[in-house]
Amino acid sequence: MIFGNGLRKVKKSNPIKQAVLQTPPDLTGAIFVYGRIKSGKTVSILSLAGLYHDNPNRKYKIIDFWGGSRNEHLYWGLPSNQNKYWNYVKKYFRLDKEGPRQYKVTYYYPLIGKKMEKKKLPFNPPNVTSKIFTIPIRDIESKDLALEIGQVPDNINGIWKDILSDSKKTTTSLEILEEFQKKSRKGNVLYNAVLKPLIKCGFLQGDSSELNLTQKDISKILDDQEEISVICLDFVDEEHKLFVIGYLLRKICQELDRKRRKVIGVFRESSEFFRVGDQSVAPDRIKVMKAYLSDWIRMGRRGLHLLLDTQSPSETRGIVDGQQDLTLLGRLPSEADRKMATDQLYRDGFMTKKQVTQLGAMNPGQFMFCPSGKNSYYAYILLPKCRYWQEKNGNFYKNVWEKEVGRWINFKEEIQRVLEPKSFDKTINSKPLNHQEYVENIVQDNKIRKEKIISGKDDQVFMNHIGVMPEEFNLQEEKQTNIKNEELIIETKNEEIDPFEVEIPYT
Amino acid sequence: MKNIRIFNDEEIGEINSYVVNQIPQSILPSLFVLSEEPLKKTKAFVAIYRIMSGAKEFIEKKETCIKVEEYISDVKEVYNKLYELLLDYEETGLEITKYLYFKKIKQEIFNNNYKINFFINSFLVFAEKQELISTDSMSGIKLDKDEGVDAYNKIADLVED
Repeated sequence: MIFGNGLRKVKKSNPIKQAVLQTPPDLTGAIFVYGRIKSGKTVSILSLAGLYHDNPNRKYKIIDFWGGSRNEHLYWGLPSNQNKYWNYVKKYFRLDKEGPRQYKVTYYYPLIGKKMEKKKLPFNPPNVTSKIFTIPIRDIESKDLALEIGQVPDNINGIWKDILSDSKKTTTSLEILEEFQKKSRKGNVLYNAVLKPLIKCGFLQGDSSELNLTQKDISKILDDQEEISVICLDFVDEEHKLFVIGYLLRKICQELDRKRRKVIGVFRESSEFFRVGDQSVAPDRIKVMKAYLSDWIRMGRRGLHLLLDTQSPSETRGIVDGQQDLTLLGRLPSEADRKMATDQLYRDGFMTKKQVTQLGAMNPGQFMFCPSGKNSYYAYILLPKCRYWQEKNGNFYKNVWEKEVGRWINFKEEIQRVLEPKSFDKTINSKPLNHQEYVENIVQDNKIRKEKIISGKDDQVFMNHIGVMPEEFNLQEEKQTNIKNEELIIETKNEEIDPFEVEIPYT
Repeated sequence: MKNIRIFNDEEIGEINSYVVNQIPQSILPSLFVLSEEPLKKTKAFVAIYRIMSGAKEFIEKKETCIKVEEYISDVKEVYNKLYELLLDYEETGLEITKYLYFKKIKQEIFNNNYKINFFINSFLVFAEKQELISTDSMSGIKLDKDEGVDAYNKIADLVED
């Protein structure tokens, strides 16, 4: 500002503050991240999702739908272990809080058969818990079934609609299966490949199942902005994964139409769907998923914003053009990819020639930010505040959770109640607990158990809650554990380890 | 005298947020040593002591409370004497007694000048207007700025594989 007599008022600005990249603006569409392998796409997706969740001016609900083949979705439950990195960043930029963060996370596991009785799932109250869910069969539409078998033929669609309209709230999934068998031809693919296995394993239930994820539950999940909801399909067979996601996304969209919320859906490795061409040999369900994803991407204004990553812009040609809010371009060494990603931006004057060249040699975490209708800029995205997948990790359950937290929850009783309701009622005549009560009971029992261990008494209180580790990480080996209380050493030999006995503190 | 370094960044930040929220920035500078005039200096000292003892009540961590208690305990006696003298000085209507109290205040300051100066000066650290960046809103570093490139070069090496 110029004052009289040629004096100029100079305002000294903080150079460090000027280098800080703030959270991108509120979303109206999707975010796409492109980049070759090792460009830091998935880590950056996690960072961005976390920021939209944490920033008091954004407050987006996060639902992690797809962790990819490396199960990267599971890492939300642990705070970042990059302490050296975050300490430096905090000091250098004078941040007001610590970087690493323990999020409130709920892992949602579909009930896929009796094998789930034995699974031990991550549990670390009050922040991390796991839940098992089933879906009410009467809620399923032919749209969902297309994610199993490709487009559903009209005659089957008609039969399905007839059966559902004739069914009542008390109708069980087995009755619907019998009805379908009667009405359809023998060897029907929907019967053999979808309904029969999914009903047999208990995932599709009648309306009365206590584990059903109802519209009300979905509404509650969406309302709880603080919680990061992670859909875990680790134990689900490959052919049913898209069906589960499709069903959930459809129900979420229904709920968002009723009441708008700001939701981010995280999809890693989405190239798995986008790479599929109409003429390719990929299963029909993946082609259907590709079409549905394009629809969901366009649903941004309803409140559902997808955060996706893929390697090459050519994979998403014609799908997301104009629908994305923000495009992040990581390292793109291929000339063709760079051309496809930047041609339009360069012509419109939103990107310079220098920026196009920079795309060829970017380090992990460095991206060209291309906001829709605005100038592009070159920036580095900080690491996520939660843990992320690293090459050394391997199996999350065995190598990360067991070592660092070591606390588990098992849903044997609930699963037995749902899968064998009659036999269970005979043996245990008790009122079923809801999830909250169940978790509280375990926490309470845990305290009693610890007190008893310390006082030297033995008891079997916890045996009901002990599950067997998944086959891939059998812990039935000699193990000696020192409890924090130095007076006490628990020795177990060829015995199952009670996951609630030992607390392994993690930082 | 307790060194201000007994407080870590987080503790200073917590006390700072109390001080800055309670006292407007326009008033804070007047509390510092702008004058060696005994009465003004006494008033600044008394006010700062009161702010610090007030901050103690609002601090969450017990350890920080103990440190603040230790920090102010060094000048507690001086405060008690000066506060009493200041009240007496303000209350009395007689010029002669005013003069006598003023002399006593002057003597008290003279006897404890180092402690009083140290206490007022170290308060600067707590009252400094800290411009912290919100961890919840910072998403990254702009690499088209030189400062950003410098920062990136420093932190990129700290990522552990």
